[in-house]
Parts: sequence; C-alpha cells; structure tokens
Amino acid sequence: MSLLAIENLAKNFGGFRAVDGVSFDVAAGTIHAVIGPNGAGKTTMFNLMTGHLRPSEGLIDFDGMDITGRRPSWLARRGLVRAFQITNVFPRLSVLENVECAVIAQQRVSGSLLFRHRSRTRRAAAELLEAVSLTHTSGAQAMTLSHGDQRTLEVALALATQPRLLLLDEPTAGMSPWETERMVELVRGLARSRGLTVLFCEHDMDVVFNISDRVTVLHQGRVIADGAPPMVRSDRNVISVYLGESRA
Amino acid sequence: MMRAGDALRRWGVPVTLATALAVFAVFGVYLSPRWLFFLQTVFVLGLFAVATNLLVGYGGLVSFGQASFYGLGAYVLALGWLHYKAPFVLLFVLAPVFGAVAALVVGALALRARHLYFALLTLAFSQLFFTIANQWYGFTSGANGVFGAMVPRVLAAPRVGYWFILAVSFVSIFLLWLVKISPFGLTLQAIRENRKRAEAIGVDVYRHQLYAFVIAGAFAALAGALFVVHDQSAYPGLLDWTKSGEPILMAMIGGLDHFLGPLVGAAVFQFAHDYLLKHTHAWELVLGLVLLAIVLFAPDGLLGVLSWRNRASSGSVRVRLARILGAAAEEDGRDHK
Amino acid sequence: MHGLTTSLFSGLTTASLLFLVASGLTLIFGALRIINVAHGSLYMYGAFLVSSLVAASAGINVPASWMFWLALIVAPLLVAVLGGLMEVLVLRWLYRRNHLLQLLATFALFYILAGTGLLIWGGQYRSVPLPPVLQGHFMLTGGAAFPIYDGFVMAVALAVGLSMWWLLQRTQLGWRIRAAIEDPEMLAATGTNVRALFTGVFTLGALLAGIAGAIVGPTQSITPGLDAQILVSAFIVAVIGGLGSVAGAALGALIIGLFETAGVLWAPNFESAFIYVAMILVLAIRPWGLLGVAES
Repeated sequence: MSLLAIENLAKNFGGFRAVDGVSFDVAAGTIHAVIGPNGAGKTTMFNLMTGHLRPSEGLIDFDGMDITGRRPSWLARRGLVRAFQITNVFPRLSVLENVECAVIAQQRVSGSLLFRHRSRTRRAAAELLEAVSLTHTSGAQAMTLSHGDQRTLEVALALATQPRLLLLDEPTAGMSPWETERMVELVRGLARSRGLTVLFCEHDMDVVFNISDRVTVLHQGRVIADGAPPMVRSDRNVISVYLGESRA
Repeated sequence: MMRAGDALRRWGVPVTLATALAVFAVFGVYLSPRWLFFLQTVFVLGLFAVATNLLVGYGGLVSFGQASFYGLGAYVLALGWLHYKAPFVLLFVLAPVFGAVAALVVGALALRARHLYFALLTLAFSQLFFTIANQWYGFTSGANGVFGAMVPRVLAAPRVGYWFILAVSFVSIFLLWLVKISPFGLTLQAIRENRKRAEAIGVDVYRHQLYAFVIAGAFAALAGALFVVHDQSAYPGLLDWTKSGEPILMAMIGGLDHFLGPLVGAAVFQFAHDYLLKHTHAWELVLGLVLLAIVLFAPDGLLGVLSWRNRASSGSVRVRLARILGAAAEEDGRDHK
Repeated sequence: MHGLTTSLFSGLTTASLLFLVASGLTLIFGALRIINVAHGSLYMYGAFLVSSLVAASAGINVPASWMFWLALIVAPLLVAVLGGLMEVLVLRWLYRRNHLLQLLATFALFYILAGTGLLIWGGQYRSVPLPPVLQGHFMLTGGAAFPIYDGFVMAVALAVGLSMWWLLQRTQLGWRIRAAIEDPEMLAATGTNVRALFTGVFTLGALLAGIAGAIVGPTQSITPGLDAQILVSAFIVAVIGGLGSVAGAALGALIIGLFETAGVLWAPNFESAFIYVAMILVLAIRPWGLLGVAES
C-alpha cells in the first residue's frame, strides 16, 4: 500500500537537470531512506516533494491524490510534513511556544482571538515535548538550545501537525554520536507508536542501514537502486558510486 | 506548577493595567488641569503606540502609516460634527470602524510587499491621506484643521475628559493584550520569527498579517478619536509620516518586546517633549540623542533593561542581545538575498 | 501651448533636483542596505549653508554673487564631510544589527540634525539671491519664458548624472560600488576594504544631497521642514526607479517630475497626491522598481 508514489519526476535549473526521471514508491508505515553522494539531487527531490519547488516534469501522488506543485502549507494541512535541515524554528519564542504554534495551526485555531483555546493547545504541545523528551527545555528560547535539541524540536514541530508522512532532511547532520543515537531511537519509536511513515535522506550510512525498511539510492539525479537494505548494500552500482565516499 | 517568573509573565500585564487604572482614576480627583492634560496625552499616545507595537514589535511589520488611521479617527469625529452634526456617540463608535476599513484597503495592498517596500507603501498612504486632508479645503478646512465644540461639553471638561480617556484607553489596551495572548497573537509572533516556517506549518501568512493590520488600524483610529476628546480639534499634521514614526519611537523607548513598553515610552516621550519645549526650541535634538543612545546601547528599551526575563536567562544581557540581533540580522539577510 | 511648455520645463527642473537627492539615497541603500532617513536633512543643510555663506559675504566685503559660486562648492563639501562623520561615528556600529535598528538610528539622526539646524539657523525663512548672470529668462519660440536658473539646475543635474555614470561604469571604485550593490559576497571575496568603501559611498551620497540643497536655494524659500518634505519624494523616486540604481533614480525622477507637472495642470492643489499614487501603482505592479533587480 504506497502512501507516496513518484513518477518520472524531473527538475531543470536552466540547462542543469538536477532530478532526471526519478520514480519510486513509499509504502505506508515504513521508514524509507533516500541516499546518494553529494549533488545526487536528494535535497532538490525533497524540495519538489514538499512543494518548495515546482517540478519541470513528472507526477507526485500522495495517498491517491495528485499533489504535484502544491504549496507547503497546503501539504502540511493534508498530512505531508517536513522537518528542515537548516534549523528553522522560531528563534525567540520558547520551546513550548514553538510547538504550540504548530499545534495551533494544526487545530485550525490560528485565527482565534480567544485565550481559552490556548490551554488546550498548550497541553497538546507539552505532550509532544514529552514524546520527544524535551520537556526540560520548555521555557527556554529556542535559539538557546543545543544543535541536537534544536533538531529534535524540529521533529516535534513536524509531529505537531499530525503528519501521515514525515520527511526528514538529514536528521542527524552535525550531531555527536550520542545525539545521533537519540535521534535514531526517537524516529524508530515514533514510527512504531504513531504508525508514522517516514521518508528521510541521510549521509550517515550506519543510521540508514540501521532503521530503514527500504532504501532508494540516487546518483546524478537518477535512481540507481531501490529495495531492502541488504540488497541495496550489496548492489554493485551502489558500491562503485560510493567508493571513496565511505563514512569518515 | 507555576513559578514566579511564569506567573509574572502570564498575569503581569492585566494586573499592572488594573492597578494603574485604579491609581490614575483616584489621582484624577486631585490633579491640576495641567497634569490632567498631560496624562490625557500620554494615554492617547499610549494606546496609539501599543496598537502600533502589536504590528511592529509583535508582528515584525514596520509600518510608517499608522498615523493614517489615527488621523482618520480624529477626522471622523471632527468632520462628522462639522458637516453632519452627527451625535458624538455615533461618531465615536464609527471612528474605529472607519479605521478598520481603511486599514483593510491599505493593508491588502501594502502587505503584498515585504520589509522595506511594505514600509514605503504605508508611508505613501500616510502622505496621501495627509495631502488630501491638507488640500481639500472645502471638506476638511485644509491646513487650518477643524476646531470647535465637537465634543459634548461634559467630556470637554478636563476632569471628566480625563476619566473618559483613561477608561477607554486602558480597556482598549487590555483588549489588545487579549489579542496578543490569543492563538492569533502567538501565530503572529511566529510569523515574525520565521515567515517561511509559519507557512510550512499551514499558516496563511498574508491573511493573518492583514487581520493584524486591521486591528492595529482600528485601535489607532480609536486613539485618534480620543485625541479629539482631549484636544477638540483635528488637523493634517495628525496624518503625516513623522507622526507615524512617533509610536514606533515610543515603543522603542519603552521596549518593543514588552507589551506595556509603548505606554511607558509614551509617558517618557511626552514628558520630555513638554519639559524640553519650555526650555529650548530644539527639543528634537534631545529626542534624537536619546533615541540614538537607546539604539546603540539599550535596544531593548527601558523595560528591557529592567526586565526579569533578561536576567533569568543564560549568559549576560549583552551576549543575549548580540545573539538576538545577530539572529535577526541573519534572518533578514537571508530573506533579502 | 505656452503653459504646456513652461510646465514641462518646470517639471524637468523638479526632476533634476529629485534626481540629485534620490541618487544619493539609492546608492546608500543599494550598497549599505540602510534607509537614510536623514538624507533630507543633509539636503537641507546644503541649502542653509549656502544661504549663510551668501549672507556672510556682506560682512567680509565680498560680492554676494562671487560668494554664491564659492558656496556652491564649499557647502556640498561640508555636507559630504558631515555625512562621512555620521557614517563613521554612528552607522558603522550598526551594520550587524537588524534593519529596524538601523532605520531608527537614521531617524534619530534626522531629529538631531533638525534640532541642531533649528539652533544654528533659527526658524525664519531664508532666501538666496540669484547672481546676476543667472537671472532672467530664456525666450523660446512661441513666446514661452523659461528661467535661466532652471536651465542651470538642469545643467548641474546632467553634469552630475554623467559624472556618476562615468564613476560607476569606468572606474575601479565604481566597480566596487556596483559590486556592493549587486553582489556583496563577491565584493568581500576580492579583499576590498569594505569599511572604507561604505564610508566612501555614504559620503558620496551626502555630497549629492548637498549639491541638490546648494542649488535649490534661489528657487524657493529655505525653511526647517525642507528635510521631511524632500525625503518622501526622494524615496518615491528611488523606489520607483529601483533601489540601488542611479539610472533608475534618473528615470524615476523624470516620471515623478512629469507626474507632478501633470498634477499641477489637471488637479492643482492635489498634485502632490499624484506622486503617491504613482508609487503605489509602480510598487503594486513591479515591487522592485523599474530598473531594480527582483529579489528572490
């Protein structure tokens, strides 16, 4: 049962074809990784899927709906949510307020002038912070958080919109081994407890092969392998593309 | 479990407002007309500034057109009396309505632009309104302005007028506080912090900012109506771009990040204005120097320097400041390029 | 036909002055990303300085007309120095801060200069007498009369415009300024002394405002309030033309000058409203101005 289906997706930037006829499916309830060397087109593809860029060609189907070219806010309201790579939170608001904003948007009360709605949204936000183990930072300004905690906050923000499909853009980038492990546990736990489908792109191969149910490999804008981790790991094309690109 | 800091943050504003309201109401019995007059100005400008700060400080929308609505509110009362002899109560209620409608029109156009261009568009509207008021002699009496018994005699008396202005402005400020703590208010701040992220979580940024603009415009117009109660006049100078800058200055003096900052700023501004005007022509020089000092050394304003929050957080105030401003500058920089 | 020609020339004169003020404003914004609210104040000081110098000539036994020419050179230079000081003492500390703070700083400077101006020159109206050689009118075919001084103003604007073009397009400095406007990252990479460049650009902008103020003297009475008056128009011109583009400022000035003229002819009394409408229209259709670069 595929939640997301991409067909012949392509994106041209002037003469440069960043994404060149990519097709693959993401099955519901799975953790699906997209990998590839630098410049393979992973970020461009993410931007296409989340509405930050319009595809030059191709189709994106989300749960039977054609979502090609739809804007991020529209997608977010329908369950396709992205957590950003560059930390993209609300810097001077508190951690709790950050999550609360997402809850408010999700519960469609962002237009409400009534304070009493906030007790409800505040509670939901506190619960989310509990789920990602960030309760101890509730009152701090988001920009004062450590890098790892900010990425976790990112995930909490994405979760607040009650996604069906969560896109994580390099979730462990810049993290210490300990932080990485926490993130992995978090993602695995969330996927299981909430039946969430997760699509993420990563450079850290250990993380990828640790938690993914399925892996798609991109190279120069095209898919060169797509399947279960063991199969992809031993695929000859993948190995040759990664020769010299092994994790430092 | 709510700690002292949280309680202060939650209830600080309404408690302060209620207390101040009571105190000022009682003072009203004993103060001389000169002081009553002075405080009336402070309350009127305070409301104007708090409403503007909802837009500038909390919404991050630097508008140089708030005077358009302030002056409009004043002119509604003045011209309604002058040409139609309409009842005061009706006009007083109509003023914010006109303000809201005008803000809807101006905002709908201006908000399609960002940052600087938004500011310039609002400035253009401000000047446009000014020109119309100044030149349309037949309707607005031009540069002379409108004078006369446009306010019921009872309200024109200093003491009663004082209580009226005190009550209306403080209640309005309280209403604005309710807006700020509502889901709408928090979302507005989120938009200010990170517009793209707000969009990504499903917020319709344009519409949201437009509503904030309308609210700020309506309350600015109400402040303008209160000005007429205070001064029994309306003149083009109420609409001009430098008038639009004053509430921003006041918010800056008091602290953009603090809800009641603009009210404190209005008091300081008006006091300095009145005091200095007696001693020198060049009060603007002093105002400029003070403002410059604040910008360079205390950008968080007076309330910021005294703030509980600053002390409670990690690192010294200076470091925090640098981080805030650096983050904001970076954010801005990213947006511009 | 008479009226039309005279109005046209009058519009061109206005355009010339606006170009001078707006070009400085647009350069400062383009390179330094600062909205210089005090720009009108620099213009006003140019005018006041000329009037003071000319008035002082009686005391030192120099013919007023000679002093006028001397003042036309000295006043803008003094204003340029003032601009340089403003940048070095105040604005330089704020480049890392957010734009609202920078704007408020120039707003503060606006007040400071206004107040100081009031202290130095008082509140009365001043005027600058025309030197004899610039008095009188050109007579055009059809009998239209056209003040010689207006021609002088246009000539100055033209000369300045051409000098700016030469500076920006044909010199190293000009290249750096353009880089600061169009591609700041590249500029940093070339090892240019950016601080000095910024001071230079601000000083240049101030010089342009000073020149405008210096030559405006004989055309109208000089009063406090000139600063606020010219600022809005100059901004509108700069924005319509595209911030950062001097050519845009020229184009914008022409458009606004003509709009105002049209306004005077068709709806006298409301001609100033026309320029606001013009700006609103241009920004609604093309927010980055006619010759500006679209921001992503």
